[in-house]
Amino acid sequence: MGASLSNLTEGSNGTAMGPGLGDIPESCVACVFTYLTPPEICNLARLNRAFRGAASSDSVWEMKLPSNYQDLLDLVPPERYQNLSKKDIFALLSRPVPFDDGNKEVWLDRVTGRVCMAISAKGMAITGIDDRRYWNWVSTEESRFHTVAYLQQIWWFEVDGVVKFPLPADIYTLSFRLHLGRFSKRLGRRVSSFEHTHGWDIKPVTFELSTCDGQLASCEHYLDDTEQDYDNGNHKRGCWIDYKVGEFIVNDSEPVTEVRFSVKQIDCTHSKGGLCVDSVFIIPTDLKERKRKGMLK
Amino acid sequence: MGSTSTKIKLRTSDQKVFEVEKAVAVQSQTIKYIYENGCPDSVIHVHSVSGDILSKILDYCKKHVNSAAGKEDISPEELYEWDANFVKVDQNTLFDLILAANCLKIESLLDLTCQTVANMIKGKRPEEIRTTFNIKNDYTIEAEEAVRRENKWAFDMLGGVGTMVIEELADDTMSKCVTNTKSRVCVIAANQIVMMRSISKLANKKSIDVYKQPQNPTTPRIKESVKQRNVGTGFIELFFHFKCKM
Repeated sequence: MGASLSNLTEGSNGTAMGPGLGDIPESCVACVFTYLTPPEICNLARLNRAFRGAASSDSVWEMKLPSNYQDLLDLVPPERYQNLSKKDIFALLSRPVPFDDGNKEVWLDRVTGRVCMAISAKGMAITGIDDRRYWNWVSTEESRFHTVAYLQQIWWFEVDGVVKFPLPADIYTLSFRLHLGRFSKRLGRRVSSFEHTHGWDIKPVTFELSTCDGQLASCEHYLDDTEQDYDNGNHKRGCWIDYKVGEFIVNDSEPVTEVRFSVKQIDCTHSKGGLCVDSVFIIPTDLKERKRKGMLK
Repeated sequence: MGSTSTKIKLRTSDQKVFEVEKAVAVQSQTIKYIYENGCPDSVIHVHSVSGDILSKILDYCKKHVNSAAGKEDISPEELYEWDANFVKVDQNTLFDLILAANCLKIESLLDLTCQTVANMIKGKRPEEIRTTFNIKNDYTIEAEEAVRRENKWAFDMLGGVGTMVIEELADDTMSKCVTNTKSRVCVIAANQIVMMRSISKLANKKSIDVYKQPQNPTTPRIKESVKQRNVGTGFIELFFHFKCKM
């Protein structure tokens, strides 16, 4: 049925061979494409013109988009996506789409088409954020939101956030991206300083998440190594660390998923400080844990 | 109504006749339709399928019918293995199977064969795919370059802050990624940032030792080496090899 990519196979001496990849009908090509990821399909567009056509067909890309992709498109001004093919819509949504005043971003993973999200510290409620003795906002290119919150010192450390979004059905992992110490560039090199870093080795911080349908997860981590662990070198300082809070399940994009999350250390017998809070990531668990073997696979 | 031992006759394009059990033949939706709506006693013509191919297809159908009906003692894993061996054929046969499975409407066989083709495509560059499948390139150099640029978005690195993420590199595996020579490499393993390195610093080295920061501070530090090679047009391929250092 339909046209085929025929006349595009040739034997080594120029004569036609038996059927090849160029000879199978469009529906079969579409079937092959269901087993390929978007980057692989885009790769095929470079084979020849007919493949470019097959690799751009709406039916192929409709399957790669999440079922509720329109919800993501609603975040984009309509003129940007009118008249776009499904492939171009996928391309558009695979770049971070900001919402909530730019404090949150959502995008499709290029390889699997699953929805991922990041929430900036600017979109969270941080206790004491307005008091410059405690917290400061630092501009940096190391954050996808270009700003992170730096804690100098405080007793009551609490960061809360909430996000409400029609996530498609999946299992998601929520994690906090934190950096112990502050960082800067000196003479072109990245340098970390821990002048304010203290208190994180005394008691652990508590991470929590909850959803409106009653799912809960929480865990505790010491953000800093204690003195005796220093033998191997302190591995928690000077780098961005994704602390996994837990997982939650979404069964359907309706009703809209609402997730609350927090990180706290509110034991006021000791102060703590010297920490950057960048963002929270909500990523499908498979994506985070799958072993990837290269970008083109 | 007919018992399960009813036979159906099939005639192929090269005039071979096959007599098969109805349960096997109706795996093909096309044959099923013809049988139920046409003359059940006469021979069904399968014009577009040759004897050799139909013979293979009937083997497939028989195996799957028998395993589903419990007539053959075969576990799902063994059936999976059998399927994998079934598609170890030369390309011509594979595509003949696809065409036949499509025409005969045998969904599971079509899925199996298409997935096989997809696996032959994965991980290859366009030139390699063309060679594997004897595909003619009808692009000019400029046109191909334009298509490459038009599809670049699919290969752009994550982040948008100049870092690229290679996730979940297990110890002792070779993992590769293709990265733009301008970006920085941010290697994440076990959800922990391993190292950020500027590619331009890597560019002049054959291999580099990068120390991994383990998630659990008590595990030994792991040393990995990074090898790279140019794949042209401002991209390099990085091979990460982790080894444990005790």
